[in-house]
Amino acid sequence: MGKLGVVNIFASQNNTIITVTDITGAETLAKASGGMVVKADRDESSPYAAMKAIDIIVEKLREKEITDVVIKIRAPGGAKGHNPGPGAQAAVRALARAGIKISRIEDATPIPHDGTKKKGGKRGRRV
Amino acid sequence: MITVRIPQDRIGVLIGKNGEIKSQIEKISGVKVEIDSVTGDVTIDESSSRDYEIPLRARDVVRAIGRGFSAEKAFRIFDTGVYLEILDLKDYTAKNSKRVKTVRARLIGTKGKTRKLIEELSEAYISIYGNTVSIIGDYVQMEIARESVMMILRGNQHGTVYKYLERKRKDIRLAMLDSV
Repeated sequence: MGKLGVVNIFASQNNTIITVTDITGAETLAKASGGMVVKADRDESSPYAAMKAIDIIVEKLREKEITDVVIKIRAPGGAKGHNPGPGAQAAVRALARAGIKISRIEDATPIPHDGTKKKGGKRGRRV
Repeated sequence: MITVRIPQDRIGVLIGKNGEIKSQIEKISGVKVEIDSVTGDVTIDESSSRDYEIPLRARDVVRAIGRGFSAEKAFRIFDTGVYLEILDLKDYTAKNSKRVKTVRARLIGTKGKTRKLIEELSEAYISIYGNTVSIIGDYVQMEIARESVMMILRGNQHGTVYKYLERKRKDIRLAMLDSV
């Protein structure tokens, strides 16, 4: 078994941000986001962008000889949405296909034990 | 261990005749599903599953059924690239207003015409249950279906939404060609 890393995937409706740390979480080993690989802002959260971002990550992981990872998937959470964006699934799949061994997947979405008021105001979100 | 809570009147659907649906979920995903039929708490034990991603999909299937989808439609979440999105209509309306009811009626349409058209033209599945609108589909389908729902929430006329859907048909065909 090679070195173990933690892949933190933050998948929102607007972007997918991937950070790989060591198991303590203090040392960042690699990072990439949807915005680094596509031109249009609206494509940052797309499954395609997530796949491309994983390509960058995998390259760095090879360099640093990390073969096993724990995945933590996270949606914005808190007062915002609790559903991970479209990039999360694609990122996990791309990572598995790249030959990185996944030992565990966790949901790391922050759940409030009743926190701050959701944005939008009294009259709701006016679209 | 993942827990989801679903409404009481959806528990029967999740279990199915003779526990059919429940065991089908267990068979496909290899997880153990435990349902508390009084509170509606569903516990998914993923330790028996060899795959790492499928338990999360099983959770979404349970949530989809809890949000009013038929089991048959919810099983589409097991396909690659397909996911579930839940919109809360209350986020888009004033607190304690009757607007939710109006918007819900507009989304469904006369005899379900609007919902049916959005479903057929975007090829996503849509369920309107309580104060939520849930969509099951892949990335392209989801974008089109979500935008259609938003247009109605915004107060656009139904005709405008149908026209938008017709225009977007082309995108779906292109995406289909892409995946082949």
